Amino acid sequence: MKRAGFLLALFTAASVVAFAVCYHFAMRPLRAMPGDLPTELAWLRTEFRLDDATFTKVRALHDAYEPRCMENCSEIARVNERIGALTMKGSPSAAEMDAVLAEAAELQRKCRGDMWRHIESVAALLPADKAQRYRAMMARAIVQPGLPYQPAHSR
Amino acid sequence: MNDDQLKQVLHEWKAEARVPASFRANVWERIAARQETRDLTFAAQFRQWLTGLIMRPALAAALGAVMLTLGIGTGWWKGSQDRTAEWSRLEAQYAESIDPYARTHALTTR
Repeated sequence: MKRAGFLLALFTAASVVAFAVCYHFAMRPLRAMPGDLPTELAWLRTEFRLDDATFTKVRALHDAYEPRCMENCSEIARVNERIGALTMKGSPSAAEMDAVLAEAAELQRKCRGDMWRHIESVAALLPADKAQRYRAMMARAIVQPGLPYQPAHSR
Repeated sequence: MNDDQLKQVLHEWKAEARVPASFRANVWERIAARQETRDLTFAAQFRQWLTGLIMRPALAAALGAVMLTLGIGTGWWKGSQDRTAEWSRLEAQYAESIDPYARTHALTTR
Protein backbone atom coordinates (compact mmCIF):
# COMPACT_ATOMS: atom_id res chain seq x y z
CA MET A 1 0.00 0.00 0.00
CA LYS A 2 2.84 2.36 0.94
CA ARG A 3 4.74 1.51 -2.22
CA ALA A 4 1.63 2.07 -4.33
CA GLY A 5 1.10 5.48 -2.71
CA PHE A 6 4.69 6.42 -3.34
CA LEU A 7 4.48 5.38 -6.99
CA LEU A 8 1.24 7.29 -7.48
CA ALA A 9 2.76 10.42 -5.92
CA LEU A 10 5.85 10.02 -8.10
CA PHE A 11 3.77 9.70 -11.29
CA THR A 12 1.66 12.71 -10.33
CA ALA A 13 4.76 14.80 -9.63
CA ALA A 14 6.32 13.73 -12.94
CA SER A 15 3.10 14.65 -14.75
CA VAL A 16 2.98 18.10 -13.12
CA VAL A 17 6.65 18.75 -13.95
CA ALA A 18 6.08 17.64 -17.57
CA PHE A 19 3.09 20.04 -17.79
CA ALA A 20 5.13 22.95 -16.41
CA VAL A 21 8.12 22.33 -18.69
CA CYS A 22 6.00 21.99 -21.84
CA TYR A 23 3.91 25.06 -20.94
CA HIS A 24 7.13 27.02 -20.41
CA PHE A 25 8.48 25.99 -23.83
CA ALA A 26 5.19 26.71 -25.60
CA MET A 27 5.20 30.26 -24.17
CA ARG A 28 8.85 30.90 -25.09
CA PRO A 29 8.17 33.15 -28.14
CA LEU A 30 6.36 35.61 -25.87
CA ARG A 31 9.20 35.72 -23.39
CA ALA A 32 11.64 36.30 -26.26
CA MET A 33 9.98 39.66 -27.01
CA PRO A 34 12.15 42.69 -26.18
CA GLY A 35 11.07 43.91 -22.75
CA ASP A 36 12.38 47.45 -23.06
CA LEU A 37 9.82 48.46 -25.72
CA PRO A 38 6.13 49.35 -25.53
CA THR A 39 4.33 46.03 -25.98
CA GLU A 40 2.71 46.96 -29.31
CA LEU A 41 6.11 47.83 -30.83
CA ALA A 42 7.73 44.75 -29.29
CA TRP A 43 4.99 42.69 -30.95
CA LEU A 44 5.60 44.39 -34.34
CA ARG A 45 9.34 43.79 -34.13
CA THR A 46 8.93 40.10 -33.17
CA GLU A 47 6.06 39.33 -35.56
CA PHE A 48 7.90 40.72 -38.60
CA ARG A 49 11.41 39.80 -37.40
CA LEU A 50 12.69 43.34 -37.98
CA ASP A 51 16.43 43.97 -37.82
CA ASP A 52 17.80 46.85 -35.74
CA ALA A 53 18.11 49.30 -38.66
CA THR A 54 14.59 48.68 -39.98
CA PHE A 55 13.06 48.74 -36.53
CA THR A 56 14.71 52.07 -35.70
CA LYS A 57 13.07 53.60 -38.80
CA VAL A 58 9.71 51.96 -38.05
CA ARG A 59 9.84 53.26 -34.49
CA ALA A 60 10.68 56.79 -35.70
CA LEU A 61 7.60 56.66 -37.98
CA HIS A 62 5.45 55.36 -35.13
CA ASP A 63 6.65 58.11 -32.78
CA ALA A 64 6.08 60.79 -35.44
CA TYR A 65 2.54 59.51 -36.11
CA GLU A 66 1.64 59.36 -32.40
CA PRO A 67 0.90 63.12 -31.82
CA ARG A 68 -1.14 63.26 -35.04
CA CYS A 69 -3.11 60.23 -33.95
CA MET A 70 -3.74 61.75 -30.50
CA GLU A 71 -4.88 64.99 -32.13
CA ASN A 72 -7.33 63.01 -34.26
CA CYS A 73 -8.53 61.22 -31.11
CA SER A 74 -9.37 64.56 -29.47
CA GLU A 75 -11.20 65.73 -32.59
CA ILE A 76 -13.21 62.51 -32.76
CA ALA A 77 -14.14 62.81 -29.07
CA ARG A 78 -15.16 66.48 -29.58
CA VAL A 79 -17.35 65.77 -32.64
CA ASN A 80 -18.90 62.69 -30.96
CA GLU A 81 -19.75 64.84 -27.97
CA ARG A 82 -21.42 67.42 -30.23
CA ILE A 83 -23.47 64.73 -31.99
CA GLY A 84 -24.46 63.32 -28.60
CA ALA A 85 -25.42 66.76 -27.25
CA LEU A 86 -27.50 67.57 -30.34
CA THR A 87 -29.29 64.24 -30.16
CA MET A 88 -30.06 64.68 -26.46
CA LYS A 89 -31.30 68.22 -27.07
CA GLY A 90 -34.58 66.90 -28.34
CA SER A 91 -35.25 67.96 -31.88
CA PRO A 92 -32.17 69.58 -33.43
CA SER A 93 -32.62 71.28 -36.75
CA ALA A 94 -31.73 69.24 -39.82
CA ALA A 95 -29.20 71.88 -40.85
CA GLU A 96 -27.46 71.72 -37.47
CA MET A 97 -27.33 67.92 -37.56
CA ASP A 98 -26.19 67.84 -41.20
CA ALA A 99 -23.38 70.23 -40.38
CA VAL A 100 -22.03 68.19 -37.49
CA LEU A 101 -22.42 64.90 -39.41
CA ALA A 102 -20.55 66.41 -42.34
CA GLU A 103 -17.82 67.44 -39.94
CA ALA A 104 -17.71 63.84 -38.56
CA ALA A 105 -17.50 62.42 -42.08
CA GLU A 106 -14.73 64.83 -43.02
CA LEU A 107 -12.88 63.94 -39.83
CA GLN A 108 -13.21 60.24 -40.60
CA ARG A 109 -11.84 60.80 -44.11
CA LYS A 110 -8.86 62.64 -42.61
CA CYS A 111 -8.23 60.00 -39.91
CA ARG A 112 -8.47 57.09 -42.31
CA GLY A 113 -6.17 58.93 -44.73
CA ASP A 114 -3.60 59.55 -41.99
CA MET A 115 -3.82 55.92 -40.91
CA TRP A 116 -3.46 54.65 -44.46
CA ARG A 117 -0.43 56.91 -45.10
CA HIS A 118 1.20 55.70 -41.87
CA ILE A 119 0.59 52.05 -42.75
CA GLU A 120 2.01 52.63 -46.22
CA SER A 121 5.14 54.34 -44.83
CA VAL A 122 5.75 51.41 -42.46
CA ALA A 123 5.11 48.87 -45.23
CA ALA A 124 7.58 50.70 -47.48
CA LEU A 125 10.34 49.86 -44.99
CA LEU A 126 9.59 46.12 -45.00
CA PRO A 127 10.57 43.48 -47.55
CA ALA A 128 7.81 42.88 -50.11
CA ASP A 129 6.32 39.71 -48.54
CA LYS A 130 6.26 41.16 -45.03
CA ALA A 131 4.89 44.47 -46.34
CA GLN A 132 2.01 42.64 -47.97
CA ARG A 133 1.26 40.71 -44.78
CA TYR A 134 1.44 43.91 -42.72
CA ARG A 135 -0.95 45.70 -45.10
CA ALA A 136 -3.37 42.77 -44.98
CA MET A 137 -3.33 42.76 -41.17
CA MET A 138 -3.84 46.50 -40.84
CA ALA A 139 -6.35 46.85 -43.68
CA ARG A 140 -9.16 45.92 -41.29
CA ALA A 141 -8.35 48.93 -39.14
CA ILE A 142 -8.78 51.22 -42.16
CA VAL A 143 -11.87 49.49 -43.54
CA GLN A 144 -13.69 49.48 -40.22
CA PRO A 145 -11.97 51.93 -37.89
CA GLY A 146 -12.97 51.77 -34.25
CA LEU A 147 -14.37 48.27 -34.32
CA PRO A 148 -12.76 45.74 -31.98
CA TYR A 149 -9.78 44.36 -33.87
CA GLN A 150 -10.07 40.64 -34.65
CA PRO A 151 -6.75 39.09 -35.63
CA ALA A 152 -7.25 36.67 -38.51
CA HIS A 153 -4.15 34.61 -38.01
CA SER A 154 -2.95 32.50 -35.13
CA ARG A 155 0.57 31.81 -34.10
CA MET B 1 -24.77 -57.50 -12.92
CA ASN B 2 -28.51 -57.71 -12.42
CA ASP B 3 -30.66 -55.14 -10.62
CA ASP B 4 -30.59 -56.95 -7.29
CA GLN B 5 -26.81 -57.12 -7.31
CA LEU B 6 -26.59 -53.43 -8.21
CA LYS B 7 -28.94 -52.52 -5.37
CA GLN B 8 -26.79 -54.59 -3.02
CA VAL B 9 -23.58 -52.85 -4.10
CA LEU B 10 -25.14 -49.39 -3.78
CA HIS B 11 -26.51 -50.30 -0.37
CA GLU B 12 -23.09 -51.37 0.89
CA TRP B 13 -21.15 -48.46 -0.68
CA LYS B 14 -20.10 -45.71 1.68
CA ALA B 15 -18.67 -42.45 0.40
CA GLU B 16 -15.71 -41.33 2.45
CA ALA B 17 -15.11 -37.65 1.74
CA ARG B 18 -11.65 -36.56 2.92
CA VAL B 19 -11.37 -32.85 3.54
CA PRO B 20 -8.18 -31.11 4.66
CA ALA B 21 -7.95 -30.31 8.36
CA SER B 22 -7.86 -26.58 7.60
CA PHE B 23 -10.99 -26.73 5.40
CA ARG B 24 -13.34 -25.15 7.93
CA ALA B 25 -10.88 -22.41 8.83
CA ASN B 26 -10.25 -21.61 5.15
CA VAL B 27 -13.96 -21.38 4.41
CA TRP B 28 -14.54 -18.96 7.30
CA GLU B 29 -11.53 -16.92 6.25
CA ARG B 30 -12.88 -16.55 2.74
CA ILE B 31 -16.34 -15.66 4.00
CA ALA B 32 -14.81 -13.00 6.25
CA ALA B 33 -12.75 -11.56 3.37
CA ARG B 34 -15.84 -11.38 1.13
CA GLN B 35 -17.80 -9.71 3.88
CA GLU B 36 -15.01 -7.18 4.36
CA THR B 37 -14.93 -6.30 0.64
CA ARG B 38 -18.70 -5.90 0.58
CA ASP B 39 -18.55 -3.51 3.54
CA LEU B 40 -15.90 -1.25 1.88
CA THR B 41 -16.98 2.09 0.44
CA PHE B 42 -16.67 2.73 -3.25
CA ALA B 43 -13.58 4.93 -2.67
CA ALA B 44 -11.91 2.25 -0.60
CA GLN B 45 -12.67 -0.38 -3.23
CA PHE B 46 -11.24 1.88 -5.91
CA ARG B 47 -8.13 2.46 -3.81
CA GLN B 48 -7.77 -1.28 -3.33
CA TRP B 49 -8.16 -1.86 -7.06
CA LEU B 50 -5.63 0.87 -7.88
CA THR B 51 -3.15 -0.49 -5.38
CA GLY B 52 -3.47 -3.92 -6.92
CA LEU B 53 -2.91 -2.38 -10.33
CA ILE B 54 0.16 -0.39 -9.34
CA MET B 55 1.76 -3.34 -7.66
CA ARG B 56 2.06 -5.04 -11.05
CA PRO B 57 5.25 -3.66 -12.67
CA ALA B 58 3.96 -3.70 -16.24
CA LEU B 59 0.75 -1.88 -15.34
CA ALA B 60 2.62 0.57 -13.11
CA ALA B 61 4.93 1.43 -16.02
CA ALA B 62 1.94 1.89 -18.33
CA LEU B 63 0.18 4.15 -15.82
CA GLY B 64 3.38 6.20 -15.41
CA ALA B 65 3.70 6.57 -19.19
CA VAL B 66 0.07 7.62 -19.57
CA MET B 67 0.34 10.24 -16.80
CA LEU B 68 3.58 11.61 -18.26
CA THR B 69 2.06 11.80 -21.74
CA LEU B 70 -0.98 13.58 -20.30
CA GLY B 71 1.28 16.10 -18.56
CA ILE B 72 3.27 16.77 -21.74
CA GLY B 73 0.16 16.96 -23.94
CA THR B 74 -1.90 19.24 -21.74
CA GLY B 75 1.13 21.45 -20.97
CA TRP B 76 1.86 21.97 -24.65
CA TRP B 77 -1.79 22.41 -25.59
CA LYS B 78 -2.49 24.95 -22.82
CA GLY B 79 0.75 26.80 -23.61
CA SER B 80 -0.16 27.02 -27.30
CA GLN B 81 -3.67 28.25 -26.48
CA ASP B 82 -2.38 30.93 -24.11
CA ARG B 83 0.37 31.98 -26.51
CA THR B 84 -2.07 32.35 -29.42
CA ALA B 85 -4.49 34.35 -27.27
CA GLU B 86 -1.75 36.64 -25.96
CA TRP B 87 -0.29 37.09 -29.46
CA SER B 88 -3.68 38.07 -30.83
CA ARG B 89 -4.14 40.51 -27.96
CA LEU B 90 -0.79 42.15 -28.77
CA GLU B 91 -1.66 42.37 -32.47
CA ALA B 92 -4.95 44.06 -31.57
CA GLN B 93 -3.06 46.39 -29.24
CA TYR B 94 -0.78 47.47 -32.10
CA ALA B 95 -3.73 47.97 -34.46
CA GLU B 96 -5.46 50.03 -31.77
CA SER B 97 -2.32 52.16 -31.29
CA ILE B 98 -2.60 53.47 -34.86
CA ASP B 99 -6.40 53.68 -35.08
CA PRO B 100 -7.67 56.93 -33.53
CA TYR B 101 -11.26 55.64 -33.45
CA ALA B 102 -10.26 52.55 -31.48
CA ARG B 103 -8.18 54.69 -29.15
CA THR B 104 -11.01 57.14 -28.60
CA HIS B 105 -13.35 54.25 -27.87
CA ALA B 106 -10.81 52.74 -25.45
CA LEU B 107 -10.25 56.08 -23.74
CA THR B 108 -13.94 56.85 -23.31
CA THR B 109 -14.85 53.36 -22.06
CA ARG B 110 -12.01 53.09 -19.51
